[in-house]
Amino acid sequence: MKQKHLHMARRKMCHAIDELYTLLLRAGGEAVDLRIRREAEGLRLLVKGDFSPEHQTELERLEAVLCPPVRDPALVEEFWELAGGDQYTNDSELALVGQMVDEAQVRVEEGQATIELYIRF
Amino acid sequence: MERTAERQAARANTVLFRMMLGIAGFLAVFAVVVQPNSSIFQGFWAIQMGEAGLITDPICTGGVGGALLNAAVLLLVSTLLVRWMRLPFSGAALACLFMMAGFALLGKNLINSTPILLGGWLYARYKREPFSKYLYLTMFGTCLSPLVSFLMLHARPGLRLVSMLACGVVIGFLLPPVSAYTVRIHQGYNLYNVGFSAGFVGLGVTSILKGCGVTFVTQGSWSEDSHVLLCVLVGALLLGLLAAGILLGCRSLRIYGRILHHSGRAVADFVALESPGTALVNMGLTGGIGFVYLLVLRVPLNGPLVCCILAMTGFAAFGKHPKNVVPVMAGAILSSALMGHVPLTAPATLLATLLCTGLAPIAGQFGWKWGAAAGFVHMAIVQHTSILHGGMNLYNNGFAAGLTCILVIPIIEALRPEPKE
Repeated sequence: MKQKHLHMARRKMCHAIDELYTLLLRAGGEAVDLRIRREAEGLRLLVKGDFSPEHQTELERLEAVLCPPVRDPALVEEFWELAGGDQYTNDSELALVGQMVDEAQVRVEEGQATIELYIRF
Repeated sequence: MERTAERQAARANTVLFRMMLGIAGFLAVFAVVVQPNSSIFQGFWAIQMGEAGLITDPICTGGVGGALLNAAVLLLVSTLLVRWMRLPFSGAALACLFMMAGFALLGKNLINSTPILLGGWLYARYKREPFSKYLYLTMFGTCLSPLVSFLMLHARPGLRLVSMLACGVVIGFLLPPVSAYTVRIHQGYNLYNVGFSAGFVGLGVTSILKGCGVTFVTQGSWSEDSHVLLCVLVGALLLGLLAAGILLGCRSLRIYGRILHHSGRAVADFVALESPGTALVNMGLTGGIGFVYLLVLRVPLNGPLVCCILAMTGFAAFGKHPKNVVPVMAGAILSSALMGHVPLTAPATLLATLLCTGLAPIAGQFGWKWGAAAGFVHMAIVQHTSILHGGMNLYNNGFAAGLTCILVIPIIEALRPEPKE
């Protein structure tokens, strides 16, 4: 089992979780379910939550943010600790989360969002 | 759909790569045109072997042609490194490359930067990671290259090569972890993060060397006779960026205006968040603000001032835009005007006024008043930070901006009402 960078993957996942539940709670969500699974080569996170209808468009944009066409590992190395760190402003670092993860899937239905993230060890 | 986005990103990446090669070529051709004889190579060599501490103008050392050739070579090598490492030409990459080209006009050169790059590579080997992950950090880290030059020139004969290599490697090895830490301190409000971390690394290294009896004295130089040539160069570069941005699709104020809604706080990669075209137009306009400011003051352009304009231009792909840089600059100008001992046209003040824009995210996030306050404090602090690292950190304004954040951000957060949920 390749777990050379398990520690780093775990820390990054914690920051990503922070961003995601903050997003859903700020979008008027009342319950956020988090499920994290350690797989052979990485960590997989499943987030399910509801949100208020007025945030539908914002949530629908999430897929583009979390699944960028290009990922820049050098940018992530310098800035990944900014994700989830600031709870003071309304600025999110979801674009940074998109850069940090290796895979992401977003499914947004009416008032419900399911987000799956994967970070390799 | 996803494939289309990937294809578009790949195409934009190739365009930006060619554009950076084009800029390196433009600098080289311009260098040869303005100094069309063998003195350009003698000047280039003199810059490699010369002093580099703050504020040294390589135009005084090697002539305008030699200095521009140095910038072209450093930009070319950096661009090829980014490409070789298969990194995308993102906003962060553009910022990094413009800083490499710019600061080649204020102290960086191939000889004093190479040991630091080697140190970054060794750190990557130590962490068993690809070097690509640390490339930006290491390239930004070459801001401590004056230390390498200093040891090359002033260490005991016989120890010069070893000491400069060892110093550069240690700096390159230490900067990545320190930079990853300092970003937590300023929370992304200082765009010159590595300048901040390099200030601390520089403080540590120079303090140890001072303890061993080394005295840091920088000669300093400031040219004034290449104004017209440099105006043509900067004007052509900024107009070229504007034109490239328009050609790449940023053809209306509505499209461009979207960029002004970003606070600029890291990570604000305008190439990814908006589009390469919008980012390039923003680079032309934001760099233009610095250029116009210097023209209004009737200050003759030289290496360090062109460096500042290029720094503003580069970071306009990664956080800066006219709406968030102007308040910070206004605060710095006000500070200088009120402090009798800091004249507006003094070299260090000019650099601080243009480079305080590393604090632009404060204006973008908290409004122009707080941005101006940050610029005001920055101007006061930056007058006293250079002594801490002996003038060996070329990103002294990045160091001061980080210290400004430590002072200003908690106060803003304490005084402002909590954001609405």
